[in-house]
Amino acid sequence: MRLYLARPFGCLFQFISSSPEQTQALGAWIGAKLPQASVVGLDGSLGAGKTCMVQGIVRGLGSPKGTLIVSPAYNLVQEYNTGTRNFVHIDFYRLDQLSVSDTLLFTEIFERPDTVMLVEWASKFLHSLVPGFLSIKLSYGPSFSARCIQVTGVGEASAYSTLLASLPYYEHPPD
Amino acid sequence: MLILGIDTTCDDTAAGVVEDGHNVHSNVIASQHVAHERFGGIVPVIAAREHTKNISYIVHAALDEAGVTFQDLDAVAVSHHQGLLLSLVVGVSAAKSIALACDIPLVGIHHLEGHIYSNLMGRDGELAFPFLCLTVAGGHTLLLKIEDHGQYTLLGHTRDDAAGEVFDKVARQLGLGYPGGPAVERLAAEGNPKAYTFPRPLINQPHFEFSFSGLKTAVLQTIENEPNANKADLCASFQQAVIDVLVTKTMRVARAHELDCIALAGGVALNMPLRKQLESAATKQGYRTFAPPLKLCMDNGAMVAGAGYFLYQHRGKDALTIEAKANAPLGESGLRYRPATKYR
Amino acid sequence: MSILLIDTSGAYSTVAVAQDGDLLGFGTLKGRPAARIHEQIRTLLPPVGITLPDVDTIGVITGPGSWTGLNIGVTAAKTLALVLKKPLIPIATLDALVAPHSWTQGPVCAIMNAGRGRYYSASYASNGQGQLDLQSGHLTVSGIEALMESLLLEEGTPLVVEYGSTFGELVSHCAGAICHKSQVRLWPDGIVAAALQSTPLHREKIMSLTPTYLQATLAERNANL
Repeated sequence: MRLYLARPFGCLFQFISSSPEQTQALGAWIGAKLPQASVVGLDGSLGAGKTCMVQGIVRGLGSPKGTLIVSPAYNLVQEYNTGTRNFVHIDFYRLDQLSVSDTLLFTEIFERPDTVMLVEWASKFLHSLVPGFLSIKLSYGPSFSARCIQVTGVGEASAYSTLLASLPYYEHPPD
Repeated sequence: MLILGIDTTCDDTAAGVVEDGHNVHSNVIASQHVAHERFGGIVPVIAAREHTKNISYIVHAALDEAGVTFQDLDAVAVSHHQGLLLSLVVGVSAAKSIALACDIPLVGIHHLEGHIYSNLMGRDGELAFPFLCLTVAGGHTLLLKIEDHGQYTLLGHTRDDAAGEVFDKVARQLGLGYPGGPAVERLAAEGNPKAYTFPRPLINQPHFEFSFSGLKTAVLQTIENEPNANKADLCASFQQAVIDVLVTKTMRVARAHELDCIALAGGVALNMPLRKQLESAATKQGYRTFAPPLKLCMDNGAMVAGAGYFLYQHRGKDALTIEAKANAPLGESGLRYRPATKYR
Repeated sequence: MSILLIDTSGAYSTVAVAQDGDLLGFGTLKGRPAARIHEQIRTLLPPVGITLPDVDTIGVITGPGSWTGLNIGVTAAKTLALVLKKPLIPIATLDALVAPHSWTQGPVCAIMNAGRGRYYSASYASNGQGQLDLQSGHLTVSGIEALMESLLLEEGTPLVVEYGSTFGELVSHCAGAICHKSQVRLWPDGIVAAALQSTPLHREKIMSLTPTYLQATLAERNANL
């Protein structure tokens, strides 16, 4: 797999993925580096590859190949245990606003210890539920199947600094 | 045997009263129920996932509509498996209190069993085991072989998005509102299903798995690239792609497993073109199709009471200690419709 | 008058039965507890010689506390009350926490942890005979200083705090603190005492009862900034 990395400013990383397989591989690589308890927010329009990225991250967290990750858009929250790691897959897609009880529901989920939280459509509400998180933004890239992936931190640095520091930094490789 | 069924699986609070698994006396769903006149001018806030606030009103409305009281009930059934945990626990707690206070049996069912059994309700003996059940809803797209009461074999499922969810997403992108299924269907009726050629993912693959994510992306990119596209044509072409995949795969699995009775369940079973096309494909093969009455397709309490009746006959009552579970195995065969578990 | 009490606000769940203010029996369970309260009620009643229809009133802790637990407890209690046609008494967690410590005249405060450096607090005036009047409502505040300020604590004011290491600093600030040295948040006698001072609800109010969420969530705090 070939990743083109650039580090335009601050601690923002940008990747260009040319296929869903590459997006998954990047996800697996991030997943393997996630601390026991961490929050990852994913954003990007429908079809940009959020669920694909989640499937990759989950593989990186150590779940066996063939593990089925289906969209939690309807049930909102899907809990998993890979045997060694707990993770929760959340999707805010269907929600336009959080009622008080929704807020309390999600707050209780985010207070769970030693759990990796993977949140789709994070920009809707995640900043109001947790102090900080690792943000992955996916957008349509230069060609039909290419995607532009930006990784950055949002909010309190303690929530994502270890992870960002572990991301490698190298120059655009010569063709 | 009079059973009260309660379903609080996800957004909606629902309750229904059913006699002997067949005769639906009432079927009340919070989002569709105007309860304020019934409750002396107090307007209960009927909002999504406000189950603790809604539950008493909805249970009482279901009893009132059926013309019965708590003392008339012979059992109480509740969906305690599969869904949003904080939603499930409310229904389970209410059902246990009723069972405890009235001293009647408690029957816990899997939410998907409710959908499956909606096909057996009101059809005494007409639909016999084993049969094939295509369950299509907001959160599920499954092909199940129903071997006997409480015994299911998973034959196919979606790898990513559920069919109902894709309907909702397309509707939302077109500004048609939620839930998207009925809105897309209405508009599709005026459009040309051949106007756009959308992919039919995995349709030619010999296995029985579904994938709707690629179709979703193709439709959404078309919407984005052609802002002036005819919405009716888009809806019709998209709906046809989904139906083609569902019907083709269902017929293939029916032939492979020699199941000549095909049942349809779940919210997407409301879709008339799907019902008709599945029926005509099945008829050509000499197979028969079944679909529940429209009121039993969406998440509702009556289907829980119905499933509760059959499963109570089959496996008896449950203890007051049963717990709500977000992911749970389906049936006695221990079939796990559970993501993060390998099927193969 | 007999009363059945349910508390699912914390990591333990408690059911208790009292007759004319005296505790007849109680049961406490740990771990995913709220799911078992119905079974607890079923096993608690026969040994104390009361059947469910004999119970005159039902009382329930309405919060603050574990959101899932409270939803289970409140739903269980309101459904029991409606099916059995009994009145329902809603009880605030802090009221039940402070109630067993209200036998000296003067001010008394109750505090519990709300997580992430926040506290629920309330101050009361006690008449020394078990009668408590809420003075400064139930509040949520962030940080110890804000907490001390909101309670207007004077030297020697009795302070009832739930068990937990986070309160070490707080207790050292305040000479009269009583640390509730039990991981069970609420003692059954406290719940009984608090229930006797609360007003029962009738049918319409029971129907619409929901848990209290005295928790300034991050969302609300951000909105206020």
